[in-house]
Amino acid sequence: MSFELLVNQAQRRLAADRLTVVAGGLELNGSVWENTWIDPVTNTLMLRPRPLDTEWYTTAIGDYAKLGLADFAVGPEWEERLDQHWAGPWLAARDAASNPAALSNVSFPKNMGLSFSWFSYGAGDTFLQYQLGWNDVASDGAGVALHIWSDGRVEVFRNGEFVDEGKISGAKSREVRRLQVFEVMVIPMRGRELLVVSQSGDGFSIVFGDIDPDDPDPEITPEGKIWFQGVSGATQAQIAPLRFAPSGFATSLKSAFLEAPVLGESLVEFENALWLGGVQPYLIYGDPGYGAGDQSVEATLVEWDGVTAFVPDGIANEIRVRLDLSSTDSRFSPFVTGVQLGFGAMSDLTDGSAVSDGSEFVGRAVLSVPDRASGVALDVLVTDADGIDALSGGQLGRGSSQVRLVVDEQTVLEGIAGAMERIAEYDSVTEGKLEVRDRWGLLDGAVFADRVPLDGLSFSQAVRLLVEKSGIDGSRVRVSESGPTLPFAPGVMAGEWGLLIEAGDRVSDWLRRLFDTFATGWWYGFRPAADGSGEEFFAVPDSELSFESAGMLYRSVSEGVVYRNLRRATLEPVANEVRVTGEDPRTGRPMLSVRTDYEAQSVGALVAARSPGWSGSIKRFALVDRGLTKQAAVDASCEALFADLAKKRELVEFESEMLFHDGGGPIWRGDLVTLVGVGDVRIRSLGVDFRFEVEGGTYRRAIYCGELVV
Amino acid sequence: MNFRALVSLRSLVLAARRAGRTRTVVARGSDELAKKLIRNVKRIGGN
Repeated sequence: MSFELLVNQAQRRLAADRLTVVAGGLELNGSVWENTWIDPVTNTLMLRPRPLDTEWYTTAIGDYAKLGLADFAVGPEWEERLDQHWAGPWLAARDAASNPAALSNVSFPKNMGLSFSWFSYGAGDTFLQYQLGWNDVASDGAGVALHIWSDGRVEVFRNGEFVDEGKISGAKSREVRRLQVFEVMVIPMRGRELLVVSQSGDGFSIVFGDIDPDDPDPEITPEGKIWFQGVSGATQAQIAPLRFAPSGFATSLKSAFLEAPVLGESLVEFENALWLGGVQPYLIYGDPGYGAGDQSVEATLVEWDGVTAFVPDGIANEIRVRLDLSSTDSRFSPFVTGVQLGFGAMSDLTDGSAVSDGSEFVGRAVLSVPDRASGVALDVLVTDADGIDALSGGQLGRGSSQVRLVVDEQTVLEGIAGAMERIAEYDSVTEGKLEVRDRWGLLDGAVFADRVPLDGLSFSQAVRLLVEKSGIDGSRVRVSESGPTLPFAPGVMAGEWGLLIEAGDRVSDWLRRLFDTFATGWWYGFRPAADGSGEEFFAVPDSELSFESAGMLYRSVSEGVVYRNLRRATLEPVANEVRVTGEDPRTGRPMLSVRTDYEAQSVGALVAARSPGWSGSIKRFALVDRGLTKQAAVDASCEALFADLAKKRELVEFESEMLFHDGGGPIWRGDLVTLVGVGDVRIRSLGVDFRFEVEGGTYRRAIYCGELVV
Repeated sequence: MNFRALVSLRSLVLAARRAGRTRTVVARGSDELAKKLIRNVKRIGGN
């Protein structure tokens, strides 16, 4: 039996904080760019649509070509008017009153955008002017269709049903324009949206809510033919598949690191979507064109000139994020709403050359490991405060001291002690009180200095990013990979995130939030590793905890290690109905999920037939988190919460000697022990009172509280 | 000196009884908005 309280040992601490660079929406509107465009409606970055080039008006070949009459199945009532307003054919009906429809001969891939321009005849009145659509027949009864009104109003129909409307007039209200040309670009984008934007005015974007944001191959507009029809007034229009520049780049606004990353620092890797190439030293938020060809985007950190690669050297701090976009099919562009890159946190060891054992000054020590990740503490009563302070070189009096509790040769707590409190006592000896906390104390005190979006990160990566702020060695952070990918859904404007850490946010608050919302019921916290290798951070679901008993405890001392003072209690289910609410950031609509244990709520259930969790009333639990930006995430959260909260639990408390794994670290939260005559108990909390620790004689009282595993 | 909260069975039982029945996470914005989001009716489709 041994008890050591090491002071000033080498302890890993956070030496350099993570540096995160985030840009989205208009933040990608840096002054260095080529062949890209940020749309004015949603601020989404894409390759530059060709109609925005001057050549669009002067040439009609290659990417600037427009469809001619030969591309449509039309009769003699049509004629082609070349270069009427600008280069290329304009398709017109000879008889202004006939209003025939034109359906293309050829078919196009799905999700292809269109450029549509028309001359607006009229006397200033409001009327339905044109219909434009993607369908194999010239009808708005299927596919996607636009009804364009003379006052700049545009109604959008999908599969024959009205979806929404917007305006392209450019005025605050509707505005009839006549005797001039209208030009619009209609761009299917971001997986489920249709952007309608007019060069002369404004535009709008609507969401097809029936498309699952997670659909890997969504259909915004169908594959097949396109059609248009002048409904009222003379027909004179120009139409073309919307084409984009084949490649281009954009840069973020000028920014600078407050602390320059040092030589050799490298960017952390992220798991991107497959079309973005999987694991990359950046995370791009966006969508491909979901049509034809391959779209790609790459992100790099560059200097302010937008060209020179940024190389960390401890001095250079001026940066931009550069995004290079390309597509092998000019009819499709990648769409980018945001990007993040980061230099990882770095840790280092404190000076361990003056390590010493202060156990001779310890009068009593109480270790508390509560039923949650925070709050692990060792309260130490020091018999001679001046003595132990001198031993530590004055460090214990100043606080932030490295303190390690080693019991029976095993590290039990790698801790940080606050400044020692002195208590004037008799016999001219000053007693002292030390509060030693585990690394959670450091997380409680750590705040972010950067914005960091957690959207789209795997749960384990997000937890790692947070936990490494405690200074713990990254290889000692053990997070199960079975967690979800944190949802990402673009907001109304690009550059909005659902799980955005803001500068000033506390690290421990975010950790709690992540576990509460996305990993309910998981076990997590800092602990001494079971194999005796030292401290670690662990986070695992119930199902991944060891089901192997770490040891047997008996009633009688003649049989082995004993348990005493057994107490049991039943915890009723916290809830028998769980409701979780998230929000679709694009539409602003709430997304809900509910799980109910109707048997437990059944008022009329016969006593003999009642379920174990019966309460005969509605016990509702509700979680609202706007970080739940997808229905699938809302459902998963509800499922996990219900599993955790609707469960009846049998708790057991017992006293024994302090328990250790065979040749390993102490028994901790999440470990399983067997109480002979009772059953297997999953330890949830523990406390050890070290009252008397000298060579050859100890008095320790340990209590353990756990859940009976059935 | 005693054990801290949530170590003993007694404190676990008391904490479970006091457990909150709602948890609202509103990173930015008002709690009022969050309350509106706890609903009985799920609205689906169009306008």
